[in-house]
Amino acid sequence: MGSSDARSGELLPGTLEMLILKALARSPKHGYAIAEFIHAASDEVLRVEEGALYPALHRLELRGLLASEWGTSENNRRAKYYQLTDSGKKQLASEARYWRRMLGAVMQVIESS
Amino acid sequence: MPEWLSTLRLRTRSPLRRDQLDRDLAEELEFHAAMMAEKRGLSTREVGRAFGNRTALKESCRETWTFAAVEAFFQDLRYAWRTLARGKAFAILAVLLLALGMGATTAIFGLLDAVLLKGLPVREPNRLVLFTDPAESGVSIGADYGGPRSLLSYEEFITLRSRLRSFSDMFAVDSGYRRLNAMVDGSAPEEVRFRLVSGNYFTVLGVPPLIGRAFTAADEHGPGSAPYAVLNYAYWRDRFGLSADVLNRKLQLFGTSYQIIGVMPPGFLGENVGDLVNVWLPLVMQPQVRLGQFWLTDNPAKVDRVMWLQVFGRLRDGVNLRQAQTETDVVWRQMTEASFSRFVSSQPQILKQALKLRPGEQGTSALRSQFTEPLYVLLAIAGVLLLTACANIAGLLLARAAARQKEVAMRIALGAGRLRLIRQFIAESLLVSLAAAIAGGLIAILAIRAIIGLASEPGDLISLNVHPDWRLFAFTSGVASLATLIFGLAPALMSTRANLNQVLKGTAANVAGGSASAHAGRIVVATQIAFSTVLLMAAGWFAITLRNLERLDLGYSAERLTEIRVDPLTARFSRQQLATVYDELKQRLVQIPGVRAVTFSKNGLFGGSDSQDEISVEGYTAPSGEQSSSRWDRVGPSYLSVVGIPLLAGRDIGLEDQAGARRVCVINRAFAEKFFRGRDPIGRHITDEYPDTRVTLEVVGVAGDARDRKLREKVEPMFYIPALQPLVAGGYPDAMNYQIRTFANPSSVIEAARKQIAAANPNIRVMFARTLGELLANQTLRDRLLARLALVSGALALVITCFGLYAVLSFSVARRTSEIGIRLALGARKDRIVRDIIREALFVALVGLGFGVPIALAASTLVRSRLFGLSAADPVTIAAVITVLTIAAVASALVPALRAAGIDPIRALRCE
Repeated sequence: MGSSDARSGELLPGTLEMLILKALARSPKHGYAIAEFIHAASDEVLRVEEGALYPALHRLELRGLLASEWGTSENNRRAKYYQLTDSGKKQLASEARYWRRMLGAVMQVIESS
Repeated sequence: MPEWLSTLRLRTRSPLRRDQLDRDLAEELEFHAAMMAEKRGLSTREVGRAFGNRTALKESCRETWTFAAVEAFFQDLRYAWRTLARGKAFAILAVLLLALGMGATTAIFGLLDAVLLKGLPVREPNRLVLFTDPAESGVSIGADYGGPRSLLSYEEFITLRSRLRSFSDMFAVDSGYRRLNAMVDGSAPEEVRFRLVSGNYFTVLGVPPLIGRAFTAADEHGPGSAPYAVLNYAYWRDRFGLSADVLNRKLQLFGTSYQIIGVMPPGFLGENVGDLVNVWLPLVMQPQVRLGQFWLTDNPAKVDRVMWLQVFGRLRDGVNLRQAQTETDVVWRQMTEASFSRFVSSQPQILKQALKLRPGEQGTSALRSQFTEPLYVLLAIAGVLLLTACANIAGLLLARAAARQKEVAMRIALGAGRLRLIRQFIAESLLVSLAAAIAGGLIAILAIRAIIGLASEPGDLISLNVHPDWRLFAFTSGVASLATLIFGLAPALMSTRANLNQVLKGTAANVAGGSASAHAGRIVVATQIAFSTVLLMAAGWFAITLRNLERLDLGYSAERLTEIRVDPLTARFSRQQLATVYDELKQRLVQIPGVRAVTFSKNGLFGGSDSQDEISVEGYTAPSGEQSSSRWDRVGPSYLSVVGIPLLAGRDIGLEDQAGARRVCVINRAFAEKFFRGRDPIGRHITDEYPDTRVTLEVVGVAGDARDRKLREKVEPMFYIPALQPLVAGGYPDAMNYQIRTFANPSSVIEAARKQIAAANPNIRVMFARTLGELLANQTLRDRLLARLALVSGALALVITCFGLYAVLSFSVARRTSEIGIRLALGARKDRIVRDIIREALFVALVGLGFGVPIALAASTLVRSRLFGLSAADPVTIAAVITVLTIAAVASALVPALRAAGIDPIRALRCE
């Protein structure tokens, strides 16, 4: 279907921050790795625009949900690594709860006869 | 850490490490791009596309970690400063002019407020009521026949105070202040300004002294009973260096020693607005201060009253002005009936005098009647100047915005946010109005001093509690900011909406947008010309008025004439001795080298005093219901010939006109025309009907009309009687003006004259010594003030209008460079091009004049009474203003026109 093609990879509004937090749940990552993680973890459905990713990262850092640190990447480049703070972890938990409920509700509506 | 706190911490940190953060962001993005290229195998170009507009991305990141709004604002201001600094002339002129407009408006309103509107700085000033005329000052001796009394006598004040129930208390003040030479603990005499006030003055006003004590009602027990002095704060500061020891010191005046008992707080200048008082003395000291006069009782045998007091009352709680007036009417009627009982039958009109109560909140002031009108006129002028300045700013901002269209388009193309650009234009406007506001505040402070200086007589600075009115200042700077904002924003919106491609390419849209702003620019300049017309018209009116007044024919020559007023009673001469004293002084003055002739007179020339009496004239019957009256003066021998008043018939007052000789007088032409109507007046009689000094005089001469009191009015009927021929036994004038005709510079004899008077008797007080030129200059003080300020405003408006016109035409030439190039290439003559530009300028000027002249004429009702010898529609003024503005328009057009003619067609076409 033409229309679904046009929308492929577009994020649901409001989900980006939650996805970023989730991407960092296991380990600290740099920006590129975060984008890749979301892309891979979503079976290559979701693609995060760079133009949106970085402002969002900075916003989360500013709100104290993320902390950042310069480190060395796998290919020996200087890269900025982000990691969850305690309040970031709490935020992730509550966001995840919220989305689970929301999406569950949406699915239920779709599946209903 | 709570979320908001960490946010705040990071944000406040960020402005300090801006560069660091910028670098980090760049590196972070660089890394991301490198990873994309490496892992996904993308080309640089594809990476670039994936990133989109990298400037916009950085900008939005930046906004997250800074106080974006605040930081951007400062950045905008910095940028605005840089752009403004680039066009220095523009910035300086625009700011200065706006500042002048705001400063002048604020200063003049501050003065208006101080002189007209502000209440006295005393306890509950709104409960004060004035019994007398607040504009009146001086001493008036005589009888009042009808109408509200302007001043009261001491006895009248005392009686009113004891009888009236509507007032909790009443106080009285000497209506004039006295500049006298006093000594501080026996030091050299120095001029001090005294004002006599009743003992309860300070307590009724409710102002406690700063140190020591003030007078009380106890300081009022009989003449001479309270030799105490209370000082003004500024005098204490300037003369005694704020030393508390002042309370141990004494002031000596005419042999009486006054103990200094207190100092009033700063800001308290007394009940009079405008007069400077150094020292207050109790009213009961009048006989010690004005030697040889006793003004503390009324003589029931005489109809004369010495009226010299301003009287205030403080309303009792619950009593209003109307109730107080009703009670006062009754009491006053009883008082006059009793005190004038001997005269009621012969002069029933004596009972017509009344008391009119007025709100006393604003105190008294002679300035008020003199300066109300000029100050309103000045306020109007300053307001128009402010409008011109706003129009000027608008025009210049418009032109600059148009000129910067390409720059703006370029920045939008490079990713600058539209909102950010608009904010930058606003910042520029704000910076202009901010700078103007600061400069305007300074100008307001300076302008107040300058205007007070211009409005004061030399050596007698007006003393006012005046501050720039900051509320008005806030208002004017608000208006100015709004104006700059609107005109800064309109072009900003226009520019940012423009089609980028076309603007950058310099095609059609550019020309169209340019023509719109060129049109707006012309309208703005025409507005400025209209305002300038109004200001120049006003300048013309006041300059011509001043010239007319200065060139007015006085009826005698004011050149080489000096006038000195002396008060011999301070030397304790008896009244009978005065004739000898006056003659001796004349003999002494006439011997001074450089003096040609000397005469004297009681009121003199522009000396400030005046006499007027009811008269009857032989062979003249007044129309029914009308009293015949005339001004008169008492003059010394050869008065007419020394002053230079032409003798039309008969003889001058001479040496033979002494005590015991036939009573004579000389009348002026106006007198002859009014009362004799073609009959020969010589040998006929006139009778001064004043009851105390009723005399019949024979007319022995007719003099030409001479102006000796006011410049603007017609010369009134007047008669001169011999000063040395007393009206009653010993009734010589108690002060005298000497008129000294000199061979050369009249001011050169003043020093010698003072010495001669002191040699006759060192205690004779010289009340003033001025050349007639100086006395006349005081008469035209307000006219000069108006003329000067109107001329300055007009000139300023003209200069900036020329600047505005120049800017608009330059812009128009620049915009049409290619068009003019084509015309020149096609063979158009250069003078034709020049003529077109000049015609454009003249058209704008004409539109401005077309609005400006009618506006000026309509506004002229405000100033009509200030004009002298011309009408507002004076064709010379109108023609001069039109000529000046036309020449100015052509001159402003010349440079742009020549630049247009000098365009190289080939280069102009290549530019496209």
